[in-house]
Amino acid sequence: MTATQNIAAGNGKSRLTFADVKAGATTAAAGTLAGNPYLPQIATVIDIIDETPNIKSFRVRFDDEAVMDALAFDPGQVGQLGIFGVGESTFAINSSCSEKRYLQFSVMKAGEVTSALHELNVGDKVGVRAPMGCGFPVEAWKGKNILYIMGGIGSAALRATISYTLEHREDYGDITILYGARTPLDLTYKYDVEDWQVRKDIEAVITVDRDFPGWEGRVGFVPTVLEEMAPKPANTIAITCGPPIMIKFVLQGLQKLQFTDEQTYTTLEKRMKCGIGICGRCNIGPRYVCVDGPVFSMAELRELPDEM
Amino acid sequence: MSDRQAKIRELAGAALAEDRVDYFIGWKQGINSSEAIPAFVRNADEVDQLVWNPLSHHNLTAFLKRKMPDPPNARIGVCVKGCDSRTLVALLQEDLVDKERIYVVGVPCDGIIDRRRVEKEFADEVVSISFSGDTVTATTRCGDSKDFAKGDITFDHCNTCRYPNPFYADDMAADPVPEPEDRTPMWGTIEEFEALSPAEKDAKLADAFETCIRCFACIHACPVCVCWDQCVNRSRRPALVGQRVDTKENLMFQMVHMFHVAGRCPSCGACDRACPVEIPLYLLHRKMNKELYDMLGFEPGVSLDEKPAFQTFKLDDPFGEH
Amino acid sequence: MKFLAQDQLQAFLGHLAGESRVVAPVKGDDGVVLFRPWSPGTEVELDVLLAKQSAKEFVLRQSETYLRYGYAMEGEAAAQVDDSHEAKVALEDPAERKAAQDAAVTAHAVLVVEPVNDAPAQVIFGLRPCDARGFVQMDNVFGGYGGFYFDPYYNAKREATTLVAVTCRDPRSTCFCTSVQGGPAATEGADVLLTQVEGGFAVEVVTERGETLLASADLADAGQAQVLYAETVKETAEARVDAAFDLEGVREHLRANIEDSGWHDLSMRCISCGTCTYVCPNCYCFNITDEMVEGQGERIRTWDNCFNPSYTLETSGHNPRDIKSNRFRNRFSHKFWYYPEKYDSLLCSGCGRCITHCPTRIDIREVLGVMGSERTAVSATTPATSGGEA
Repeated sequence: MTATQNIAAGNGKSRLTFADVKAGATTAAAGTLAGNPYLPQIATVIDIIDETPNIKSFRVRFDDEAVMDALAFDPGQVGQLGIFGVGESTFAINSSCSEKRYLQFSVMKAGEVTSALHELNVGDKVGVRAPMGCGFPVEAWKGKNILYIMGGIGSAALRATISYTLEHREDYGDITILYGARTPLDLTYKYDVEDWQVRKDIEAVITVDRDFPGWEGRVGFVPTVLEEMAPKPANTIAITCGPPIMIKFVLQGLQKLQFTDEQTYTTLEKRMKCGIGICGRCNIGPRYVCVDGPVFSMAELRELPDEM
Repeated sequence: MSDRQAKIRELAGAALAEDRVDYFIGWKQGINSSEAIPAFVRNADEVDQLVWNPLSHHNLTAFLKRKMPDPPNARIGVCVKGCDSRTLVALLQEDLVDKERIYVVGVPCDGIIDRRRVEKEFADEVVSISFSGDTVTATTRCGDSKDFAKGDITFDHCNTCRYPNPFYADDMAADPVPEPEDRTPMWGTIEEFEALSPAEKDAKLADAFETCIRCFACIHACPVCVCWDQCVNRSRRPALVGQRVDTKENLMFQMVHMFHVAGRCPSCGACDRACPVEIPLYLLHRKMNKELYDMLGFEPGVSLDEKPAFQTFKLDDPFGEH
Repeated sequence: MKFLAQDQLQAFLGHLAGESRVVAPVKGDDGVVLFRPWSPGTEVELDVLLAKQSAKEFVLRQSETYLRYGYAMEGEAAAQVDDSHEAKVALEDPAERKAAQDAAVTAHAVLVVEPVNDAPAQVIFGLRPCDARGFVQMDNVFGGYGGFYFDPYYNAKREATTLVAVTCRDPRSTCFCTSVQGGPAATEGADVLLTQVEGGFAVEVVTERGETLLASADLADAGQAQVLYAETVKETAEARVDAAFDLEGVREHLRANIEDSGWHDLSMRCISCGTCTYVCPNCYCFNITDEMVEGQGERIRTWDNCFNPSYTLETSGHNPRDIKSNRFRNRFSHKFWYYPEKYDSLLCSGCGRCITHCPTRIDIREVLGVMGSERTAVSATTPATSGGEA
């Protein structure tokens, strides 16, 4: 049996050689990155959106049209966005899977790479390795109610999934979005938020941590608002992403509301370098966030050591 | 059993029994009698594992520095030799260790032997080292055996040691050993290095640092390298030291370490002994110590009241005239 | 089986060196034995059992440039960069200023990116069976085993490398190859296995690659006495390795003991350096950084290790393995739990270098003995909080 057949058979229990790779063998995880998963594709920044005072979204388009055309990814998958001379970082792909013109990444200015990314202008070149990791099991969720619970820039990790479920609205039951930020200024994707609020086929609850001049919407921390909303767990999938402290209390809240570990999902952020399950930076116990995640169910996380 | 070893056990046992410390750090036998390793004793009835002999080379004050204690607020008992105590004094001078949390047992020292020098006398593995007076007997796994005069295999910094008795201790494991009257430092092999031409020095340093694997054992074993877990040698913000492993970057990395510990480092040699590829790091630090002494008459870690040389400035400090 | 006489060794190596680079254990002036590129006349050191480091450096380089890139500064682009530079000089934080300037340089110019992958043919001569097996264990990781990624940098070098192993004569007290399914004369990973016999080496071909290597070397057939002698050497060596310890159930126990206080006790004397991982023939974790000077740069990967306190440090300041005992736990769990779960074997070939080179002699066998077995009574010796004032 050749390696190609082996991998195609879903076994994967052998290693590849250069001859296999030249013959077109690829692995489940590698996909289009089979040849050289370290080599970024050059892309051009085509648009920059100032989301909040310290978050910018970058829309980038691969320079190689063939790469752009071939691009396909699942909601929840991530990519490595980088600048040659500075480095790469992992970000969720937050444009819709159906968007064929560009990939969108949202970047909060914090460290070396993110600060350099914030200096970019439209027309500048970046390196992109994408897609990587596993997305949410949106197919398996068909027919279920979906509850999104997000805080701050956690929205970036769920945006593509929200888009997917809204684009396939008839496949899902009730869709509820609970989104909170410190202040109204810190709410990302205001263009989405406006849309969610006017749509009749979903429920969107937007909250900020404390009173703010001019804010007439809801005030309160996300976990508290969740408790007040008291969503029913029956036939519902809850997906949460946000600052670690928020996730912690949301998970406790969901448990109190009788959500099981199997119906609760989150997506993790870890320091990553290679993004392909080798360099050993993002592992939590035996799971590598870059290839086994970043999407995990609570049931999977419970098996892992306390190294979140 | 030596008197010092018995006294260490007694003092450690009392500190643990009276709950004055959470754990006590001394030395114990390693895999076999050819080596001593750090021992962490938590119960008074476990103090019999503690040993004192000329293999007790580890500078245990490295386990006091920031983020080493486990739990972080532990009360720790620790043994120090003369040179170890100088690193402790250097840490205390800058309030880098909380005096209230440590209990220090001082051990007067007669010199530590360089196990690696013994090891190289055999192709086979040394599995036992025993002492009889000034004779050291090493035996290999195959049973080959060789005697050494202790003075021939002690470390360079022991041969030139001027401070064999601890400067700072709560209790002593023995009366002080005789000290040299003349405390003028002896620089040992560093003078050979200084006699070389610049080109020869370059070549010697390149030769020494070519094999560095940047494992950071030197940094982490160093008691006075206190930003160890935030090291600028690894930082990418700022990215001052290249991450490429080559002779030039390796030397740069070690130079940064040398300058960062200058004034605290009494060249106890902990870095040198931790290095898995045996780079003579000690020479760099020794050289820095010599420069400090020649310029400022300064010796690190010999007085609690003093501040490290680079933390003070006097108008009459010599500048660039050396 | 062939025979290579001791006095033919230099000529044999010279012959190999005609076709490719030869790497062999060599003793330096300071008495330190390391794998180094061999040149004619250099004596190969086989009396000392193990070189200080394994030979992994010659396949998984300590630091390796894998991309080169450059920003060409011409016309309008150069002018824009100058403007940006001016504006950024005003920033007060030097790190921020540097980042901004770098970004300005990188942002406005024509970018050329070129992958680099140098993999000259090489023979690693004189490594021990444990070191040869180390490569096999890394092969799974870099070869896409289990459906993961194929690493072209590792594999280019690996496929250009022939391993000539030498049977161990005097295993050390720290050797434990037989406990991890290896042995002092094991052939897994080796292309050729040499065994020192009277007057030279008994030569066994293990793989096709080994066959090719020896095809042109013109070695005589080994005599019956030499074959028997080689067998005796192997048996003697096997007997000299300490009794194998039982690794049955170690993975399950490590999993069960993950939060056990024993990790704190065992890691007390760890100084959290990376020596054990860097001398290890199969620890493979790495870092990736960019090094750029004036618009010309390289993306490099360098060995890194899970003991490095800043290894998992995140931009926010959060560090999932901030505590020393967590980092300590990661290495042993990786070798005997995480890796086996992904790659169906162990990530350890029992060379014992991590024991002999550890500055405080932490013994992997002791760690496995304690944490890889059932912990009936949870150690009560690590207080959650100290009796001292906080």
